[in-house]
Amino acid sequence: MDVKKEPEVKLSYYDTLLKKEWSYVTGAVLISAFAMALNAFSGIWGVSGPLATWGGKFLTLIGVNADSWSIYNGSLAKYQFFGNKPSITDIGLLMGALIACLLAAQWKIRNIKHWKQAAAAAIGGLLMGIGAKMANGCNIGGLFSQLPQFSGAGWVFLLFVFLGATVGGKLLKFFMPPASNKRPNRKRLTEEQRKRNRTIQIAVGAALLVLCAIVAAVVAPKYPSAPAFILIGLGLGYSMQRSRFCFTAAYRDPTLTGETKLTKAVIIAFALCTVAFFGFHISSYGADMSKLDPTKLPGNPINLSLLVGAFIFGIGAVLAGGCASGTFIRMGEGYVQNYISFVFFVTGSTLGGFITGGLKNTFMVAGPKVYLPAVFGGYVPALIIQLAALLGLWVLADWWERRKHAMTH
Amino acid sequence: MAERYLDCLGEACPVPLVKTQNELATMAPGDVLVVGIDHTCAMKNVPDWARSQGYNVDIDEVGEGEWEVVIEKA
Repeated sequence: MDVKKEPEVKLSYYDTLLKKEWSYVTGAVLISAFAMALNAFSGIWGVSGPLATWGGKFLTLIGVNADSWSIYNGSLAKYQFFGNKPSITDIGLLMGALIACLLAAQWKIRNIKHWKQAAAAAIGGLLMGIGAKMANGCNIGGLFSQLPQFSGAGWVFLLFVFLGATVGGKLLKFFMPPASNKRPNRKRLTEEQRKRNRTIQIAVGAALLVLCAIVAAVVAPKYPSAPAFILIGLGLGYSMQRSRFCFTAAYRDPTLTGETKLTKAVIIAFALCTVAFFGFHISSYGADMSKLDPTKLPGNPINLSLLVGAFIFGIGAVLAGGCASGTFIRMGEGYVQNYISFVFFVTGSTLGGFITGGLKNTFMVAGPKVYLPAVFGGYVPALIIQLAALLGLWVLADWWERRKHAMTH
Repeated sequence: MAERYLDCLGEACPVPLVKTQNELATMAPGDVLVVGIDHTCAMKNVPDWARSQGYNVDIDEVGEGEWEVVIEKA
């Protein structure tokens, strides 16, 4: 076979509009924009929070009185899907990715082929659930919504999730299906059949989009914020699917494959959101922080539970093949592996609720909140230092990939 | 000029890229590796990596959401 340098193919309007994948940086810009729109509207974006509630709801459904447990304490009876922001945006991620995949005519059921993948998804999901509970958030709530709001906990999460992912990368070889050089005998469709399938997929995608709009209109009178959450969730899901954005890959791939393209894109997203939070916080707390209550600093506290949780989460996200947001995206795309990991993620979150309940008032959760503008004496120095640190990481990531490439030659 | 197929269908990131890197390491310049992929992220990061190595890459969408990435080792 002769592999030519790819010819300059002129993309059709359809390919450009709905099919061709976007660059990671395009993804970073759009995801930041949607996340900051959500923030301006109603506070930070989180993903893993509702999973423990869903676990409790499921237990209630099968007859277990979970609501009487201290970790739920009556919250299950009060829970309403359309009254819960992260629940809506989570399903929005799934639907947005599903619609993006259908409109690109790339949806299919992506089955696992080896039991090891199911084992990795189960163990990974469980670890992510427990880790996210202990760390007060996943890649989104604990990192992407944390670090840019000048919270030291975001930086600590990044370090420990990176260490966890490095360990996860070492464990991954035990879960990889053995390499096979046999081409599976798959039925290939004719050009005509493919055209028909494409039309069906696009039609279903468009119908689902209309369905989401109808749902938004129906629930709007009772839940006035729900339509905005639906829109932002869909936007995030669509953008993440289309740009193949993945937060886990950002800290997993440098040590595993030497690739840092996503690392650099995630750093760009952090920088964009940092600038946005700079504005949000000045307008909320005053440029001199005079309106900031020192007992109610933004962000999560830094404690041992965060360190352990982020580390465990990192291992889990690598094994499962996606973090919380990634799991929702890939469920939308039809990955069986991620449905398995989702079930165990919910289980782990519920178990994690008991673990964090048990850790209450122990040394594990003793620790301060570190708010960088308070540490560095103002918003402007905090902004400069944080952007400089991100630039430093970007340069390091860029150097790392060049070095790796030079080594393989 | 050997041609080899690598089955990465049904596999999630980073497995397809790791397997591709391992497979290509055992191949000689001029050899061609065809990687079967149905992971939407891997159909971007496998060609991205191969191109950054200076290899010629061709992506063929052989079915809905299923690709064959053809890599010629340089």
